[in-house]
Amino acid sequence: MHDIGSLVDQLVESTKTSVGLFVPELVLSGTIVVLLLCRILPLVWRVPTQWIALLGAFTAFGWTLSQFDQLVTPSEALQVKTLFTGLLKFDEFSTFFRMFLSLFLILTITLTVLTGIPDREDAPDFYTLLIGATIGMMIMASANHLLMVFIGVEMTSVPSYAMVGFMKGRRQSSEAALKYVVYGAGAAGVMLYGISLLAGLTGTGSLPEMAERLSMIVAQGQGISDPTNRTIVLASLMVLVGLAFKLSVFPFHFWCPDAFEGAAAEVAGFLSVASKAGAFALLVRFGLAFSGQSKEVSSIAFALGIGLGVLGAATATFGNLSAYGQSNMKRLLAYSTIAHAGYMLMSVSALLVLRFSKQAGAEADVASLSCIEGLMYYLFVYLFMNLGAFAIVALIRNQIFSEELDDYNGLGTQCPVLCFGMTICVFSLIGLPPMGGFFAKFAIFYSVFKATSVHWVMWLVLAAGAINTVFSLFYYIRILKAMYVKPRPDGARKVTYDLMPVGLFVLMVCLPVLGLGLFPARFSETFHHVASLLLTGR
Amino acid sequence: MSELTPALLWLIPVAPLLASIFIAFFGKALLRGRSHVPCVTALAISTLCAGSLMLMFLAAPSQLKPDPNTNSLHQRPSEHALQPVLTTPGYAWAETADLNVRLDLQMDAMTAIMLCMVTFVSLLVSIYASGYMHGDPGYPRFFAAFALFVFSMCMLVLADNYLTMFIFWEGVGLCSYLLIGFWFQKPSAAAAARKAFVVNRVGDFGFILGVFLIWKTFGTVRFADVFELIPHVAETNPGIFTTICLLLFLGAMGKSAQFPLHVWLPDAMEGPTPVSALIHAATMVTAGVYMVARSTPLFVMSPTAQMVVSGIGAITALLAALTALTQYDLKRVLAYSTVSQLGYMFMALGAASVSPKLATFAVTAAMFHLFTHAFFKALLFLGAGSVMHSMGNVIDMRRFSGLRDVMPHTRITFLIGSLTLAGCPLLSGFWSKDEILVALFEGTKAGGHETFFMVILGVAVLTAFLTAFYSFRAYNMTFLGEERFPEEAHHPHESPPTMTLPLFVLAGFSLVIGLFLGPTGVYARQLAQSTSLPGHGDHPHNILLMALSAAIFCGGYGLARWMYVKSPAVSAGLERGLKPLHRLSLNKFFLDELFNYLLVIPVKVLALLCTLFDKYLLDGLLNFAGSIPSTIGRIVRPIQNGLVSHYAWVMLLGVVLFLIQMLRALAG
Amino acid sequence: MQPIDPNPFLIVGAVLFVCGVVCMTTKRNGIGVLMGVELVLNGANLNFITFSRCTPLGLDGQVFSLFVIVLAAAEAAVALAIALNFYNNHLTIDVDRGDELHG
Repeated sequence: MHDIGSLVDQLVESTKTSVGLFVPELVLSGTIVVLLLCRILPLVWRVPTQWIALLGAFTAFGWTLSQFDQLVTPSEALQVKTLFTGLLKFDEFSTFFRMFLSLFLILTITLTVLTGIPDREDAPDFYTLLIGATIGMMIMASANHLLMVFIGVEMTSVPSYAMVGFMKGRRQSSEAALKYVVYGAGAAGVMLYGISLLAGLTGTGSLPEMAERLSMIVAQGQGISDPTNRTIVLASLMVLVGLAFKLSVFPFHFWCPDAFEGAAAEVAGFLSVASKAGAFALLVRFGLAFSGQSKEVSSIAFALGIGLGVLGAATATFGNLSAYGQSNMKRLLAYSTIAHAGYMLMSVSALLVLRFSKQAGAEADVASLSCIEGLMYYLFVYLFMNLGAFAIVALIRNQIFSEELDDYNGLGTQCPVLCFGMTICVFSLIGLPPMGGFFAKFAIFYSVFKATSVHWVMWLVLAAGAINTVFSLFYYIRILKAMYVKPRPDGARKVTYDLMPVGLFVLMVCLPVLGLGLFPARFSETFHHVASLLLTGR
Repeated sequence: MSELTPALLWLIPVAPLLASIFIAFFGKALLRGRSHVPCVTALAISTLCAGSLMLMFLAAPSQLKPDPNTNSLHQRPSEHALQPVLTTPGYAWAETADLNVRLDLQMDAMTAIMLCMVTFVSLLVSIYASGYMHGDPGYPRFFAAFALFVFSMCMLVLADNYLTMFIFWEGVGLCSYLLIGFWFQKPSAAAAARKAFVVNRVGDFGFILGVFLIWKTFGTVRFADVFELIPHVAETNPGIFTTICLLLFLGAMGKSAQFPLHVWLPDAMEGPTPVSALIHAATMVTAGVYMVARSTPLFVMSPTAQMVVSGIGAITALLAALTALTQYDLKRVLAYSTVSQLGYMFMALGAASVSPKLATFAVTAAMFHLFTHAFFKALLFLGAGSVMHSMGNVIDMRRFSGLRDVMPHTRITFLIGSLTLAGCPLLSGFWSKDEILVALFEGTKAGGHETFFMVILGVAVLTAFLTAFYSFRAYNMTFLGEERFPEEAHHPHESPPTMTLPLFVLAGFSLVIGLFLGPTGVYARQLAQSTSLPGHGDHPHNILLMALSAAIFCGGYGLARWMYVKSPAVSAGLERGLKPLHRLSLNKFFLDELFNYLLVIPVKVLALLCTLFDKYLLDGLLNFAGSIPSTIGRIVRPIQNGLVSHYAWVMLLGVVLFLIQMLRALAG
Repeated sequence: MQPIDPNPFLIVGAVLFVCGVVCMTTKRNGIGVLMGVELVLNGANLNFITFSRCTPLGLDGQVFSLFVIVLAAAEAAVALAIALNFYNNHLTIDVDRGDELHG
């Protein structure tokens, strides 16, 4: 039994090191436990629930921040590792996303404190769900194994369903939740089936191993006529369906407007940013998992890249066009998030196209770096600007009890701080300089432009992106027009609000949007570094 | 050189910018009548910073050693030894492998001089304006735009490359537009603002083309790099310099109001007088001169372009001086005088082509005249503003006279300004004008264009005479003679101290600054350290020319005194006798009318055609195009019909389509 | 352990999967749709088990299916709760009756 002994030793060793690096997730899990128990423990019950949640979130953020800091500084304090015998990847890329998600968790909890959307009774459950979903996203971002891919997606989805339906008494909320759960479960099922096929064909669940075996298998077969190869294409497509659903990519976006309109604006803001961030991290990992030596695998990934480009263009176009004529703010912003997912998908597409093109060389490597850099930058800006937009919708709702665009008429003079914040977010969403959205969009379009030299379809994608930017202008401007140009109807409710905390929160969200636009050099440098580490795998 | 230096350098433009933003946001609600406070404070800070930096430069240029740590300071290579440049690493918007957008500041001797002049004069003008603009409903708006202008102007001279320079070149143009049209309710003001903007566009178009050409030829737009690459380009493509220089000069012609693009400047006097003094006399209009001086290394490569510069300068100087002879609007006399003096500077700049040895001297002469001119012309304008203030906004010299007793302070300062402008010996205008004449005289001795410079010199001498004449014509008509007031002036009075104090300060500078800096060679030595200049050259003197210009001054002064004080009948008789000539001058040589027939009317016809085309064809198309997204939106929205099974089918269809496409792509 | 032919098992899995997908797309009853999801998940589970026997996937496959079962249970619990809430608000479980959110 010498073998088993060494195996156990190995396991213990791996777990010991892994747990140390897994602390942020463990802290969040601990917070969940406290939140679940707090009703039983009278002493804890007296502490406001949101402070407990906030404490956990801050701890997790601080921890991931310090990890990220250690990773990106060249001191080599922490090596790139895989956690738990290769289930999770611990590198700069995943740590960036974990940091990103915990930061976002802090902002969302702060927002819910301000808007008071979960009442005292429901608060523990709400924060449990919120934190649980965040852990799921963190796992998604660091998944290194098909099992973790699935667990991450499910851990994100299941609490999200419940959160969308959290306003139990509202008809719209329950309808939104039902639709979301039905599609979500369906997409997860299809994804799981794809995973099972992939795992079976390659005989492994670990993503790096899978990449090696895939290139072996595909190289042995006779091109695309080989049933094995076809199955691989089908299986990867099924996995992509699951991700596309999370990303609300056309034509898997149907749930998004309905769910966002039915859910509270806070939840919609959370889902629109966080679950997309996790899913994009996963998509990049999954796409890069194809990197092998064999030409055939490359050609599959290349075709996938082109396909994603077309999907991205279609998504952006569909999202922007549908946003026209929307009267509900949450629905309008939901379509806008769909469009933004389309832009981000373009950069993933450019990444795959550049990396797996036939004339791949040093230049293509540099260019594919800029794709990841652009995606990360976009996500980072998107975090603030989209959360800002949804948060302001929620804060205004608390004042005027409406989320209809028509009721925003003339608000510009009544609550200048909120409207000014909205203006900044909207300008950034359009992509106007000097907001962060401008540089982000610029970075993505730039990487797509680089990819145009590889395949002509990317020209179409680029053109679609550019046209969509113009399209989007009109419906975003409608928001500003309502707030600043149209007069406040007579007899409309007078708006009064507590300036300090709300103003501070808006400032907290809007300043980064501006800062990311005015000083992009520092951030893009960091992202560039992270991207290069991800691609070279050190 | 301390570590503070970059901070000081940044503070010069940033302080006015912050003031501008502050006034723009809080001026209306909070500051109102106190809106000048942030502006004056910020300008005082800027002036102090600029002054202290200037002192550092003056004190020990050789102490400006390269600093290996911060690289904030670097010495030009060998041939430009002892030509220190202070560059501060500025704001980097984006710095990646293939995209590099950054904003750095650069300060050398030329910049330092310009900065001191700009900040100091604008400080004085802003103090003056706090009195002059008092009670205006747009008080905060004025100071917001004013501070923004100073920011743009400082950035323009601090730019370390042509592109940044161009951006702020446009910035000062924008501020000028805002301030000319400050009283936008007045149709003439709005029209003048528009005219200035449009005419400047013509020049800017040339400038940006020139910048593009520089970028294409040299692969960089940084001054230092461009100048370094000149020998290299001179070997491969010597013809390009003339094109680049002429395009750049076109930009300078627009901004510095050179013939035939000078028509906007007299109209710009519709703006508040402090604006005329600062922007349209002392600072912005000299940007063109500064730019050409800064580009000296480029211009010396192309004698043809230099001749054009000189020629245009001479035409402008003469035409504007002739026009100024007969104008009755005091501010317009000064405006034409400004145009004429700017022409003078360009004449000198053009003389740099004669020989490399003379280049430094010629440019120094132009820059020196720019420097002294800023003081005395600002003084004259502010004096005119003081008169206007007292006369109930009447500025027509036929309607008032003999103000010497009512406005003693204004009178004495205006007299000093007039003396300086006319070139009274020992005052600053005399020294700088003399240097220009010497530079032109040297041009007639060497180089291959003796005849050309002979003509130019003749024009310069004639212009000097005219200048002396019209400046005293204006002075005499305004302050001497019998005491008359227009009916708009309810109680003629001397202006408040906030207005007269700047007048006295400027008058003091006008009196002595030329003597201190000119003949002593301080200015020339200082400027010669600039990177744009080839280094110390000759510094010729010419006693004969000095005597000549003194004689010219006396002649002009005497003639004006005789015609307007001693025997006013003469001027009236002359007016009648030379009616056609008088009318020609009074109507500015009908240049506006000429432009109107040649350009404005054809353009208007074209515009009308375009409007029709636009209204009936393009609008239709555009409306159609604009309706496309919303129409498609209306078509696609029913897909989202809310039905679960429906969604599922569309999704399934999507998967199948995608799969088929993938397989086809892979098979194909 | 004698080698077995995986194909019959995989075919059963595929049939389950297709049944599940058809069930999801055609059923109007919310619970029915969820049952379709279960079918899909179990089709995948069958695949995992088969592969754990016939490919180097080994025990990983079985772990996979165990996790799937757990997750499916969690998902079903949440889904049923949501369906119940829907019923409370709409007095029906027909998913197509929820059409307030559209456009």
